[in-house]
Amino acid sequence: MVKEKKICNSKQIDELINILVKRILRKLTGEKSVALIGIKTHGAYLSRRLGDKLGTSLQVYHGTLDIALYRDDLNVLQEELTIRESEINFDLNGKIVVLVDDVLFTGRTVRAAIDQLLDLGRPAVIYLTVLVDRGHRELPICPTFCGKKVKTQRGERVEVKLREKDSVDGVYIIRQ
Amino acid sequence: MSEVTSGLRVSAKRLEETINTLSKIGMTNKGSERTAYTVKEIRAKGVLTHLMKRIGLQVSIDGVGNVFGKTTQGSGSGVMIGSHIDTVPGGGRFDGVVGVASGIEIARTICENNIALRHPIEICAFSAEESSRFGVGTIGSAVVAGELNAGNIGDLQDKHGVKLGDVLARLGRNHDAINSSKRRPSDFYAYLELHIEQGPILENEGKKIGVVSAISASTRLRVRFLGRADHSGTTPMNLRRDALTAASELILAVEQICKAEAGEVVGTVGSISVSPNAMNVVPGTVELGIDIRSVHANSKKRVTNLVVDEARKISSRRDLELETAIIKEDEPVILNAEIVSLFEDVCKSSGVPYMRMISGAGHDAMKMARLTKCGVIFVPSKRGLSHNPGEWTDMKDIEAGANCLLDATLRLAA
Repeated sequence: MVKEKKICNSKQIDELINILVKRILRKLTGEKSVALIGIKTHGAYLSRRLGDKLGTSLQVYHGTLDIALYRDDLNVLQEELTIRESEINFDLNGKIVVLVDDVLFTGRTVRAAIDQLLDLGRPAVIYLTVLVDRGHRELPICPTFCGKKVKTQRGERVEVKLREKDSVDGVYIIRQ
Repeated sequence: MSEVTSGLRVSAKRLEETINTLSKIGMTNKGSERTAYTVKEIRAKGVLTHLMKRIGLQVSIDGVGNVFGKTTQGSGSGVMIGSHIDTVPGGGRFDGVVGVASGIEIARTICENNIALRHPIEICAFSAEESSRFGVGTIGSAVVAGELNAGNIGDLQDKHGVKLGDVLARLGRNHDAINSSKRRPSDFYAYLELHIEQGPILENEGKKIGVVSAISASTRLRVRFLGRADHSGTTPMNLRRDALTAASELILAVEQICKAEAGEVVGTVGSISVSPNAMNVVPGTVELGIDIRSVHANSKKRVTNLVVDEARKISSRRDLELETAIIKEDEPVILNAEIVSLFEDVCKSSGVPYMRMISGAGHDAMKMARLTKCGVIFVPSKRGLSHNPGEWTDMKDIEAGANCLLDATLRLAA
């Protein structure tokens, strides 16, 4: 039986985003611009929301990453190897990059994203922003900005729904 | 043709960065590993789309994974600058990449200086220029030129038995997408390519630029001698039907026949497979892969016939069976005289030492020559090394080549 527990509603997600924006601005004090790179799919929507708020204080460059070809469990014999057009239309060299994802779990997605970014250019620094850190890291990766830490069991799923894609906002822990 | 003398110069620093960005993908301590349609090569193409988009080029990817980036300026037929970014296994960092990176830098230089263009400039990285995976090279440009299509590339196989058709299907490319990659002559005003020489001539002659007048083509022959595998200790010499000694005779004959041909033919027995390949067994079957190249179609044909005749004589004398097959026969390409003159003029104007030469290696330009007027220039390869991790071209030479290409592009497109 599937058990679903809602741990954040729309208002709480907005609050978490406001907290993240404040922390990012504090960290970037004195900087003029930031490159927000959202990891597809939900990281890309979150990145836009962050950008809307950061845009009043900083010049924001938006980009997204599809990390499929950089996964460490990519089965090169079975899976589609589609050439993906880059959705980062600006020069990454020397930029302050804030990588954005919805949930931080094992850290493998973030590792893939960093590898991809370094293929594309050489940012001055890469920070990591996540809405929810659910633990169970398998790599030495730590978020620079975290909205909410949640204790979970290894087998549980943490799902972030965003209205841009899912028509509602919410964070759920799902136990099967 | 416009009389623009640009005075514009590419940024060597940026060009070097672009070369590094592309060539580091798949770099190992045994050389570059970006074999066609492997993960590393596909990642590199993704990076290429980033490099194109960040300078404002309109990016598209066709049915065989050729990547194009076009300026928004200019209309109608375009001046294409192309090459490739796939490598042979254990390849070098400059082969192909230098041409694509130079194209990007040229487009960037032109765009940031707001040069008005009559013809758009289109940068292209063609797929599978190297034949090392599927046994056939310049696949991407041949599909664009209409020489190959979904019907005749789908069954090409790599050494693991993977079919190109299946590889392309996994890229999300079906037959229609592959066939719609064919372009029309009216799409192009000219095609230009900068490539490393991959040979020692420019370095030996002390020249910076080689203006290519013709690209030699290869005929690839497979010759199989079928004798009899026998015990190496019990079979007297006069009763043997040794396929390897026959093959050895033919290998030396290929060298002699090519040397004797006045028309500058080069011939190489580059592969040999011996069966059963055991020290205590007289070789029963030997298969040779022979590559014969020339810019003169008649000489190439004559040498090919002489080699096949010689194989027949050897097999008859040694009482062997013989199988021969021509697995590939390309026509040499004479490059467009107007573009050759243009490149020479540009070199003269900028005082860069150059020489006219032929290309012994195949390039995408030879396929594009079916569609439009084509020109190729070479920059020197240190010690002539290529398809080798030690491949090297000095940045000064690449810069000179890119500036020559920039000037030629402007004279055609501006």
